[in-house]
Amino acid sequence: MIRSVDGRPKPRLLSPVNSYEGAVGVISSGADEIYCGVKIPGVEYLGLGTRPSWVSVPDYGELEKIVRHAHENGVETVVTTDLPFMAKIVEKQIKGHILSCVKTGIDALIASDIGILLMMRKMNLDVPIYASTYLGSMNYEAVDFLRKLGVRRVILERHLTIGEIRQIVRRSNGVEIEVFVHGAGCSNINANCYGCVSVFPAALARERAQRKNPGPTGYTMCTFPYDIYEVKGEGPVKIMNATILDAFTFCSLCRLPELIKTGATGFKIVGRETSREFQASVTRLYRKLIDLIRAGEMESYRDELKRYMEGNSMQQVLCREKRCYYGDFLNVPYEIPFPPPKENIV
Amino acid sequence: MKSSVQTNNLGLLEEVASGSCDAVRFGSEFCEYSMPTLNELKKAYEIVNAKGKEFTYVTPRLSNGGIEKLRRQLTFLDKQGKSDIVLNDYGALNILEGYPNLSPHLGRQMVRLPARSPWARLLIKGGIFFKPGGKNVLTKGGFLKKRWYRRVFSSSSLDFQYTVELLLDHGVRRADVDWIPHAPSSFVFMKSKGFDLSVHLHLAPVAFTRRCHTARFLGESSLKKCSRPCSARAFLLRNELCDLSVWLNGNAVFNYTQPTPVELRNLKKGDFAEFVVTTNPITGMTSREKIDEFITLLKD
Repeated sequence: MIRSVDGRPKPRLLSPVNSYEGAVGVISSGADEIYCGVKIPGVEYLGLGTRPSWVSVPDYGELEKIVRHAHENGVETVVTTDLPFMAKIVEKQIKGHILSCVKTGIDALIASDIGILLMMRKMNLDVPIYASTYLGSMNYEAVDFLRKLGVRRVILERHLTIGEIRQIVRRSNGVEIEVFVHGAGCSNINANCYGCVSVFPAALARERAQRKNPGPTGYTMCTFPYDIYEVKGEGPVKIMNATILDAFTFCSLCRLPELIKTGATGFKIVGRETSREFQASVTRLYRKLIDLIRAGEMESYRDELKRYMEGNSMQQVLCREKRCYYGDFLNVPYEIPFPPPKENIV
Repeated sequence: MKSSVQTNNLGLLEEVASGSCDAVRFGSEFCEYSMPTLNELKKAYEIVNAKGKEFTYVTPRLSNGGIEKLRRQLTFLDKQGKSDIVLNDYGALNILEGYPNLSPHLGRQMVRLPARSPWARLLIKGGIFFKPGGKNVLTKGGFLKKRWYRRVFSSSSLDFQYTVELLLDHGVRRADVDWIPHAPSSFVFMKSKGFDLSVHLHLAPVAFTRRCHTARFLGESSLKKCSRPCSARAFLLRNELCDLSVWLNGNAVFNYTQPTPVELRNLKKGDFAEFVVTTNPITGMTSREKIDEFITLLKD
């Protein structure tokens, strides 16, 4: 493990990729690890959540190319199984998929369901297993439970505070802890959200087409505007229209020094569905800021951060809307003026 | 088969426990901030015990703080004798082994049912799915492919041997599932392994959050000091374009379905160990009369 002078593990920067070209981009931008999904033959359009199949690496041949390039540059490649659901009916497909991924020389696998994790263990694979955020780990006892199942790393649920992360790391008994730092952060707990689809009914396409801003995650019900009704004595009463389920978060640039102090092993950037340019530029930014903090150059970190904020209008919007991964989400505004007038919601 | 009422409302507990249900579940299933205090739990246990009803404690997904709170509550419950604890967190399952009188009962958040997806009905129908570029995906596979999709959407994460073996190793013999009419799940595998299944009626969870949508919408200033508007208020969320209707109560989003008499009859043939009815402003089941009325239907 890479360690800094004060003995804490250096946070490894994990970047998303969905193609060979994307991998080349984020690796040259400073990623320590890259992660991706790979289309699972036979279930690629199942649509049970996580990410749409089109954000995955298309086939094992391309994965092999990515792994080779990553290894040549001292970077690890982690593959996530994506499917947050394991049952007998998909066992054959998932098993074949895992074996094909391992054959390409990947460095670790992320299990998105306890059944997949157990199956990977039984398969005696020669790669470590990481527990996905889809296993919903929010406390140190959950991490301990997964440790006993042989998991090397646990990716924590997004909805934690920095203090909670610090406590988990302190009591993790050698399990590596990974946290999200940037990119579309889900409004709901991943492990129990059924609102995302990876194939979509035509109605969703119409919904997307009509919206000014399709939102960072696209076809998820949490980004939709809703007519909101309250049920009272005489029946439902319409209150207003709002994106009431949209509590997505995006960024933790200002909180990086605190996050590094938690001792978390991995800092994950979200965005397999984003452009290669976005993947590379965010990786470059985080690489620079993390290195400055690790070197103790806090003034340079603050200057760099300020420069970035001033030159990025999208980031300014996110800041104004308080879309902070580790902030007070009760203050995140809706697209429309908030809070709604009190007289309308009595 | 027993009929249980699940509530997190201490004020309603006496009334509920006096009714015609066989058992009472008390506790917060989705919100850690709504977990009862130790004193509230003690009071709830006393009330249910005094009415001669079986007591089950329901717990949500937990943070570190929640785990510590739960430890104190489990110590109390363990001293009272045998009871079930509904768990929705692997951390909670991890600590339960230290309490010999308490049996783990797998909560709904630990059981994945694809049919909970608000899109499931559309996805099962087939023939209307597109991948980018507009190409129809499902019809490509024809009838067999559609049938396979339907089977997937009727499965659960409990239809897998390794998962079940792990649960059995941890002493789990009971699990909560949902009644979802458009994709009736088959739990034959679980039952063959000796599991007792409890089926929740009316409300199937679609999502839940720690960034409470209701608290934010109603302008609560702190979740720790939340006034719990969810005990009395719920919201219907409707997106016309997608023909999507879901319900928001507190930090959870639900699909709400009222079973018809025929569906209820079929459900009763389903060999479930327990029917669970939750007191909730969405279902309107917030009084003994309403709950008893429904339980009578179940028992008929």
